[in-house]
This record gives sequence, C-alpha cells and structure tokens, in this order.
Amino acid sequence: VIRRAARWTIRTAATRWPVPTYTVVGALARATAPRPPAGRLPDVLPELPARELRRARRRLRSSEWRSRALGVVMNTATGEPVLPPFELDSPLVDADRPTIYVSLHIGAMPALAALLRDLPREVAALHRMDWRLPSNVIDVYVARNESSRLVGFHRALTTLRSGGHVFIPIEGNAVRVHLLGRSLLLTRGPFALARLSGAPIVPVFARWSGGRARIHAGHPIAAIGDEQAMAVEVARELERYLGAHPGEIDDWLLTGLIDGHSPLPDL
Amino acid sequence: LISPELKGPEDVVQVVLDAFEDVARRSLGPVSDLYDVPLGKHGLALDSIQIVEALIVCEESTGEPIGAPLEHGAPTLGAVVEHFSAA
Repeated sequence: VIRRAARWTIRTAATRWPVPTYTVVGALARATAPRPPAGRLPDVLPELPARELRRARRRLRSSEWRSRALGVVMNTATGEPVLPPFELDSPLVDADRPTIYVSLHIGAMPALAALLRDLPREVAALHRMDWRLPSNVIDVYVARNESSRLVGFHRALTTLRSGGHVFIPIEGNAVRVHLLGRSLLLTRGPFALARLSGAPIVPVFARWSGGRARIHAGHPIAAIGDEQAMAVEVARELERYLGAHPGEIDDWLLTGLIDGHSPLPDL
Repeated sequence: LISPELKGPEDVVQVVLDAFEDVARRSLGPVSDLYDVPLGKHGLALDSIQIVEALIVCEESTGEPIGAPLEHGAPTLGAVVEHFSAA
C-alpha cells in the first residue's frame, strides 16, 4: 500500500509539476546521502581528484532517484506521458535525414523520449522497458527471443528505408569495444542497420540538470561497411561524455567495466 | 516477377539460396534438403541480422515485399522460397 501510494504521489506530482518534482526528488537524494564514498569509481577514473569523485557519486545517487521517478511516470501513464523539459547541449545535425540514435541506460535516459517526440519524422524505438512512449514514437518491444529480435530488426530497417529514424540502446553481447581502459560489449544491431541503410549513427546521452534534462548529441558517425569501426567511434564519443560527466557512470556500468558482467542479449 | 532475369520458380529458388549462402558464407546444400529447416539458431544458425539481410536481397531481386515470412518469427527456408515464388 505504501509503495502504491508513493507511486501515485510521484506520478501525480511529476505529471502536474515536472520540473519542481524532479528538483525535489534530486535534492532529497542529495540530502539523505551528503557524502557518499567514491566506491569503485577511481578504478576507471584514477586521475580524478577525491573531491570530484565524491561529487560524482553524489550526483549519481541524485540522478538515479530522478530517473526512477520518471520511470514511474512512464510506467503508469495511461495517456501521453508528461516528460521533463530538455535542452540540447548543441543542436542536432541534419535532423531531417534518417538517423540511428543510440544510447546507454545511464543518467536521465528515459528523458530521451522527449527528444524522440520532437524529431521531425517517424521514429521507431527498440527497447525492453515497460515504458509508455510519446504517441508519435513507434514502440518496438524486443523480447529476449529470436523471433522478436528478427521482427524488431526488420521494423527498424523498414523505418529507416522509408525516411524515419530509429532509436536503440547499445548494451549487448556482440561487439567488443574499449571504454575507459576496460572492455564493454555492445549490440550489433545499430551498426548493422547503418551498414544496410546508409543512415548515420548519432550517440545521444541525457543527464539531469535540476528538474530538467540536458541531452548531449554526439557527432554523426557516417555509415561504412565496417561495423567494428563504427562501434569504436561510438565508444570514443561515450568515453568523451563520461570523462566530462563522471557522475553519469552508474554502478551497473562500473561493475560491467571492472568485473565484466553477464552480457545482455542483443536488441 | 518484377526482375526480368527471373523467369520461373527455379530462378527464385536459386536467388533465395544464393542470398542465404552469401550471408552464411558457406554452401548450404540443395534446397530440397533444407525445405523444413528453420533459418535461426535451431536450423541454419543464422542470426536475426543475417536473416533480414538475405531477405532484403530476395526482396530486391523479386520485387515482393518481405512482410509475410517474418510475421511469425524466424521462418524456414521453404517458407521463404514459397513466399517469393508467389510474386
């Protein structure tokens, strides 16, 4: 009952007053853990000063709470989900051109739905979450089985060939790249899509800024025949982003980079 | 058939076989032996990307949209041949 009441309260507040609600949730997270330990962050960012490490960890906790609150809104929305307002670090390049947007489950990732909502063409979003997406985004739920991957991949390719965009998270188990001196496995899907459609790949990462989201869109990575080379470019963009925003490195990513984790099935 | 090079069902069979051998990067043998073999991991062991890639080649060669073979997940090679032969 308490959990349901909490979810109802968060959903109601975040739907009516998104910016103040996410601001309060973030402040609560910071207030209840004012000096978290640096944890294992120094293992991947050894040159970061101790103070910056603590700040990054505090920011991470605050970010996770806000993303969970947004997840509640997207899970329970019965109509169009009310998403937090967002600002782009820099404008999207050539947003009219069919593009494959890729991201990682870090920071304010669910807020990327707001970016997809505002894209000028049809968008197919491949995912495995119980999120209600904006009505103009085609929701392609990819279950963990062969049939679903096949249908999802074909749907994505069809969307690109008809002039639309595709969004796909890059966690996977097929393409190995280096990130922060460690190894990370990515899904092959977006790189195969680029090779087959000629559409560029644009990495996008969202982070919280108070009650709003800030979205970083990387430089478009041109489609070429070498999927591994495109994956390396995406990893470089991700490394630059995480270096600039170490508070976005969450425990799942840290564990994966340091210990290696069971790879997720490819989308 | 849209493509003028395809004169009959035998040509379509060859197009399909060539397309799947190309993505599998190996010889698959005669189609008659593979008719009921699924394309996925319990059959020819192709992944979803390879299957779609081969189907696109078949689509472009025959002019018939892929659609139907994917409605129920990974099809058999025979189902693919029948679908594109019907074009």
